[in-house]
Amino acid sequence: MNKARDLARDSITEPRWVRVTLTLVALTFLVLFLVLPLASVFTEALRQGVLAYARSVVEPDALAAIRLTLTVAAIAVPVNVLFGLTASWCIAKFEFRFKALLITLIDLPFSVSPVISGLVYVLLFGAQGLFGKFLMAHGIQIIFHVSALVLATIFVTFPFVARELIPLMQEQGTDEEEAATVLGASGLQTFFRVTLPNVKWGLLYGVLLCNARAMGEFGAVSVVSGHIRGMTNTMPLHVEILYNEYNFVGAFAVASLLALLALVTLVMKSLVEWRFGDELATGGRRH
Amino acid sequence: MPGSEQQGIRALGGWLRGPWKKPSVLPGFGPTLGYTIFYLSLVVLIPLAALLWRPAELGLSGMIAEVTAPRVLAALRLSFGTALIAACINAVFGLIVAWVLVRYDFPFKRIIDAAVDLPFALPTAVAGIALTALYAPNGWIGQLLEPWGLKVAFTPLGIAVALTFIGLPFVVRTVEPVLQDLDNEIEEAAASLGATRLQTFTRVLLPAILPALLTGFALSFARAVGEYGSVIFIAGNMPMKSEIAPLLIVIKLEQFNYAGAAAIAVVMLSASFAMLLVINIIQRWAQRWGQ
Amino acid sequence: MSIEISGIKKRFGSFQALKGIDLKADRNEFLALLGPSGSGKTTLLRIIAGLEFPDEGSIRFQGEDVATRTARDRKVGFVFQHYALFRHMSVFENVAFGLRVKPRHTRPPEAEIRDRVMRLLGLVQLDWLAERYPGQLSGGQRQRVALARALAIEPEVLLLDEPFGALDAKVRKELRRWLRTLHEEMGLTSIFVTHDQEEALELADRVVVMNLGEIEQVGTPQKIYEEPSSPYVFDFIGNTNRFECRVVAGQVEIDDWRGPAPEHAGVSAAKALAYVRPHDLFLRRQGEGPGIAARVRHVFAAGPTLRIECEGTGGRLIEADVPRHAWTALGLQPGDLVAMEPRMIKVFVEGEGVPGF
Repeated sequence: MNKARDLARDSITEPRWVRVTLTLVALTFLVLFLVLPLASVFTEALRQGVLAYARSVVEPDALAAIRLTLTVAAIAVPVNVLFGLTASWCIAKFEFRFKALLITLIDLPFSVSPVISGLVYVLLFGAQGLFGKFLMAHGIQIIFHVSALVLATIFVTFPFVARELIPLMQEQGTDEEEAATVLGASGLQTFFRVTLPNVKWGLLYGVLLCNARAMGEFGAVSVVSGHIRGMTNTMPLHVEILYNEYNFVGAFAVASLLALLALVTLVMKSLVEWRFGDELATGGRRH
Repeated sequence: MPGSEQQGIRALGGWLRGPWKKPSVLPGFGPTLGYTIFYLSLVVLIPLAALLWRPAELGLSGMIAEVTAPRVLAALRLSFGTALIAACINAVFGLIVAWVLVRYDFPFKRIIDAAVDLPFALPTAVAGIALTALYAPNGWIGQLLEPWGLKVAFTPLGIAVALTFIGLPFVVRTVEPVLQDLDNEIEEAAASLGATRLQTFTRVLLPAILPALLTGFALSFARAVGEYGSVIFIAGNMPMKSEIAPLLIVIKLEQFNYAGAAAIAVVMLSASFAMLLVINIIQRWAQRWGQ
Repeated sequence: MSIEISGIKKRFGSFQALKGIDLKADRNEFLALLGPSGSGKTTLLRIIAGLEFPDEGSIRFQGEDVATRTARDRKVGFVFQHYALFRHMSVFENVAFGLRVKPRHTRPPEAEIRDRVMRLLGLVQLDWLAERYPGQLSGGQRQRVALARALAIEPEVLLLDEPFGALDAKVRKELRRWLRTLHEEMGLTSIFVTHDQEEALELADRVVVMNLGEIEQVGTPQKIYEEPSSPYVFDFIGNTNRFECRVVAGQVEIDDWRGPAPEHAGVSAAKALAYVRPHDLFLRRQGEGPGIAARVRHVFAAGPTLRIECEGTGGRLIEADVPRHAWTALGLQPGDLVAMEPRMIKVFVEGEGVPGF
């Protein structure tokens, strides 16, 4: 009886030794590339004890970096949420020409190197940039200033919310919105009472990813920041400075905070997937 | 002649006036589309256009000279070469990881599955210093490799390791859903027709997941070519040897050579758009079975 | 409220969905739009609701042109094919939605909303499910919630798109009867779309048969069944035998059988199509009287009426419905030769502008 079942199963699975080997290969690969790097962040940070760790975290420059990172994310994320909601409304709820082109353009920042994302703003607003002279004459500074950090961050996190919402809203169609309209709801009532509640988990999902990238972005902000301590140094940039000064404990201490952020993001993201997976777009979770 | 000109204008008018949008009872199309295009132009399109405008001042020959300078060529070769190696590693191991996660059962599978996204969530600078610490001669892995004369950190090999890390989720996440959707019955059919397990895999399963695998490969490659944060710590950054193209852009910027930086950027951007095109073609090709 | 539709045309790209529709629904009438998919029936219903915009033509509610009134302002009850329930709201909130989104000065107070919703849920016998979510309901229950939601805004016009399409046969029958009662009790003007002829004939006061964006025939169920005005309607409604034949000097000729066709008395000789319902065919043994020559092939003996399948000249299939006792009296067996005499026949002559020919 059991033998027959095993035989039946053998036709669509591999011999046991193959299964075990493959599983071990996969797990080794993941341990090597995921677990060890993550573990080393915390080990290195705590190498000289908890006290040294705590000192590095509350050091004024570190605190300034944390504050700046939070500020940048607090601007970039809401701006992109607003954009994501607007873009997904017009793309998902209406049929019009050139829609595919528009979606491709929205995805564009994903295929641009982070360094180039920063570079474009230097070319526009830098001292020798397109608007450099004009800005200088009017005493406006963008590059090497918080505004450039915000701009570069908005650029690299631009598609996150929109690309999560567009497929989700497309799947949901316009039936419920039409029903609301027939029942007498205005456009805003329809949006806030019907559309938004239907996409809230997708929105949260997009916000989580957008926020993680906004707080962790390195390349783009590195190009535009000028690395002025206490002024234009976000957490990832601060990590670099400390590391290059051979202050490894300090670098890894700040890095551990970012790693924690990544872990929290992963946990929340997984919870949303497990609990509300059917309320997210089915088109896969690629980024 | 004026006749044909008029005809042309009328044709253009018809095309513009044509039914480019289906009417709908839902409100807000105009404002939302307007805002979308405005914001997209402001944040993405105009800045990217500036990138094209800048190297133009060098002229075509100047630009070619700029990007064919030995140091630039070496950097581009290094970036593309290591990205290719990393993408290949990810294609092989990503496929195995996806296969194991979909097909087999083992403890903590859900958590391990969730952890695959870590490279998406972990800031690249953190990944960079962590990998450097691991693979440095006195690091956990580095000291194991040292006796074999294998140096990873501060060599091109280290760059490949960092790029493998950041590209890891792409293949897994593109192959996983396709594997999940595969109907058990096609494997049973293959088995009932007398195919061995290996034959079933190579002739039935692999062709079905190939488009997804190639897409994941291309995505991971595209991401790796432009990667900066995780690489610069582990690379060593020796000109001509271990200096990646994005770093060279930064160096040129620091020397206020905007046109030179932009010229390299244009080359890299063209490469990413080419990859984008390839991915689109792969996906169109995959849809020929009406998936 | 009466609904008057005139000259409605609608095109989607190169597809002409409606080719000029004129139709009037009287106050308190129950109208069925019947047709296959692609006939334009759903488009017409959505145009009446204001969910789609006609290219030409006008719609009047009680004599007033509603072209400038949006779907929001038309105050029609609309039941969507897949119900379009708000999935994140409870049954109660779904039904209350139309009341809650009213401008503040016309919005009823909370207590009254509660009252009205519960009354409606009582009416559709779902008050015990008020706190459930749409995802937790069966198809029939969802359908009734959709109906209660549409009725909450107290519409005078109720539009239903394939209201029973997604339900199984038993639930469908129950809901049909119940909907009919509701329509009468609430004094509604209702229009529903269906591709199921039985449903249309059973439920509606008048049936509108549509085909390829045009109205083929409008009439009471009885009229539609007994006097189809075109070959298309004949093919679409009920079971029917179709004969390719000739009309000669006011007589129809099917094989060797001849019958009167007085409506075509002026036709000297022409090709024609003749339609005979299976229960209008009288069977006798060959040689015992006139009729179309055929051979009995198969007998379906389920129910009070037997369905006799015969093979005519050239392999043509002819079906006849014969009462059980008559069949027994005939004593026929498969293989026997019979004469089938049409008692009622409808003939359409080629070239008289008959569509579908």
